[in-house]
Amino acid sequence: MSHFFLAAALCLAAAPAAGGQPYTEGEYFTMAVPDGWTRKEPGVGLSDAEKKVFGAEFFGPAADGLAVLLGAHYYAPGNLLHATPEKFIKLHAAPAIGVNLDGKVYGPVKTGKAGNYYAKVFERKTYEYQPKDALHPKKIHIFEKFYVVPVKNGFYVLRYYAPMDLAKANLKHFEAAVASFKPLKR
Amino acid sequence: MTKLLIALMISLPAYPALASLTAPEQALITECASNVDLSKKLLSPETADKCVKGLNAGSPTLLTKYSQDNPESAANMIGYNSALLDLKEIVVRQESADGALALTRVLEKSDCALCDLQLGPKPEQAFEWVGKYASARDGVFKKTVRTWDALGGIRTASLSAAPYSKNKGGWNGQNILDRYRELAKWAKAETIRLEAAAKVPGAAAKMNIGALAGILREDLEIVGDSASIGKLQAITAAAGIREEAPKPSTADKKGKDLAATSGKLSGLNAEGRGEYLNTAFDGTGAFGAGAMAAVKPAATGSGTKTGTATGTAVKPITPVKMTAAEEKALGESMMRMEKGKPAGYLADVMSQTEAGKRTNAFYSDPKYAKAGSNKLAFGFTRAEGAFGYWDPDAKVIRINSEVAEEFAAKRGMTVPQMMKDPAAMKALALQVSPVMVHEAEHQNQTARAIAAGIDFKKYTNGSTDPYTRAKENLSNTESSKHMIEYCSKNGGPACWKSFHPMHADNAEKFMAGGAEALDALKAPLYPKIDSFEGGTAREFKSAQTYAAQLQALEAKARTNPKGMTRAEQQNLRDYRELMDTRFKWYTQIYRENTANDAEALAFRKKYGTAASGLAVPSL
Repeated sequence: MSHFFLAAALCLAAAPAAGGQPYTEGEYFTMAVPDGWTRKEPGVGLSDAEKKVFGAEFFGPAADGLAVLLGAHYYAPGNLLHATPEKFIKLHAAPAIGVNLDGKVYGPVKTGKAGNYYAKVFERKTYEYQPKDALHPKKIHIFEKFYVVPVKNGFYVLRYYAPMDLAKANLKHFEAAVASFKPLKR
Repeated sequence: MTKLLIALMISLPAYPALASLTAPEQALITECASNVDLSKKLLSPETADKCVKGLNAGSPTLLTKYSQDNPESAANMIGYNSALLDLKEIVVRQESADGALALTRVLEKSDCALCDLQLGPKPEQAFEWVGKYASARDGVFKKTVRTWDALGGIRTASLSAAPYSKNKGGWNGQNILDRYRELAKWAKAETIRLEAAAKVPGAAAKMNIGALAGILREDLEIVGDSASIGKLQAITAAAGIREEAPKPSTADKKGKDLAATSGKLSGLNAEGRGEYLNTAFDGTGAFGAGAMAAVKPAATGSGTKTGTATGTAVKPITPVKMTAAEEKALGESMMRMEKGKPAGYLADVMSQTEAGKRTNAFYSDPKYAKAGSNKLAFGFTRAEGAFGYWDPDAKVIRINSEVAEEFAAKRGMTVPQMMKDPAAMKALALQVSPVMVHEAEHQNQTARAIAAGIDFKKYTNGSTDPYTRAKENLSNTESSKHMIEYCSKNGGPACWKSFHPMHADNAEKFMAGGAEALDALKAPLYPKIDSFEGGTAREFKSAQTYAAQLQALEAKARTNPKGMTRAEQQNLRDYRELMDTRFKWYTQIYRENTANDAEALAFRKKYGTAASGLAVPSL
């Protein structure tokens, strides 16, 4: 790849890691969203209030038809998805079906911080298959990182999802957002 | 409705039915109408989201109530607000070839709702909107649609000159995919010229071959012109410029669709996967090969090279194509009707789960038998690249014959040989069962649509309701439930090796996050299929003439009923039925997907999976 194209691609793939744009999700949390990442409105399905899961997803650059994603959500007590942060971790830090097919990679769960708050942190490498429902799909390698922040009432999850081509370049933007995170339901 | 109320409604200026709505409902209607009123220049996706949710609230829904007296306004309101949500999703999540395909679908196909909002058909018309509502994606969007000003100086300088003689107006007047094709043609021609020029003594030193090659490669990779890419590699190598080898996962690889060629997208080699994962981030502490202890990958059902039930290693053979008679025999052996009920290896597997039982029961359901919409027509056939499909026109479910041929070949057998091996047949049935559940759910969706009278998409022989990703959500949910329940009853972790990893991956996403997880991240991987919002926009745009005629006739029916001719009265009934069908379809599918989401979460609570060595709790 030429230096010219590489330079252009890098400019496209990695937005400047500045302070980010302040974002507030109702009464649930604040954080600085990376410059250049766009919020997408949720689609059809149960509402946030029905699920008792509140938050937003922000999308960055894309490769292989998949955009880099920063998700930040608050799981209220009694939510319909994950009863406890431990159950969330066990379903995401290890194969949710109890067996690792196809060579996915799951990292250890460590302690860390999201902003000034204690968090459980883990990474994983998974796949998306493309085209969907093809006999011999291409596998798109995906990198994900999670910060799970337990609070007195419920818990928070900050999630990074990226096609492998873009994962390294954009991780710092996610980490900056994590560092700025402040839960309002504590 | 009293005459007084009718008179009151008629006297209201803009929205005659507003008086029958509550104050908050009226406010929402006004806000939603304003959002898509071109004179107000709003077109906010955030407001659109609020509108779609608000219009679907209540029972009957606000949309249903409002549409009774304002079919045209209601249709435009839900259609245009849905179109804005769809466009925002495409702009935010897709780019390059996938983005081009998606934008072609929503801007250039007939029934373009965004065009009514002056956001198309040319993508340049959406630039201001993108700049306002997704400004961070502005540059990417322009590059995705290959607008002249985003092509870069090297391309435009060359394209402007002979023999191409392009200009901005002519270039931007092309369809999006034509722009990509023109660039591919240009890149091919320029590669040949570069090849010739580079051979001239001393010329190579004067040219910026590296920069040129990079740009040409980008345009050639999109359409998969491997011959020209090969030439480029030779040119740069001869010039002493080190080209990076193509990575397994780079952008712009959707050439299959654009170039209408086959076989460009190929699966990764099984042996290469683990190695790639461990070395993807060499040199960075967080991602070094030792940072994550890889869980040892289990052998996959589709990739294993030892195939017999006893574990005896067999030598795989090259798959042997079935004859038409063998395909027929295999299909009947897998799934057929006997005494009014499904029978065969596939039916047996499906009888072991609730989702599978629903599939079997569908084919015996008398309420669909009268319409003939639950006739079992199952078989194997050549279907290049696909695993299986439901065809609502031919009314058949088909599994790709290659699935069975490859399955048998891994066990060292032809399909006729495999058909004499009950254990192998059962294993094949198990592997195919998620696809059967998925496709049968599609047939069931069609049957439900016909029963509800919302099958307004007519084909030569069949009919159905509009095809959107909402249908895929439901089918993927059913097949995930089938796999999860089956394995919870049949050996847990070891059982999962029976399924194709792609199907098991669906089930895994489902267990992790419910039905929404199946769609939320996979959505960009269906660039040729409308989202539900996109389908809504398309269908209500398509029905616009009916809606306008209906609204006019209903106004006349209110103000001057005796002045209506017999033809007008018949038209009123016909148009009302046409529009009621659209609104019914929309509300039914919206509710079905919301209910599916809720049922999926309840199912997850019920089914944990046993794990060996990996603690997965029940929910």
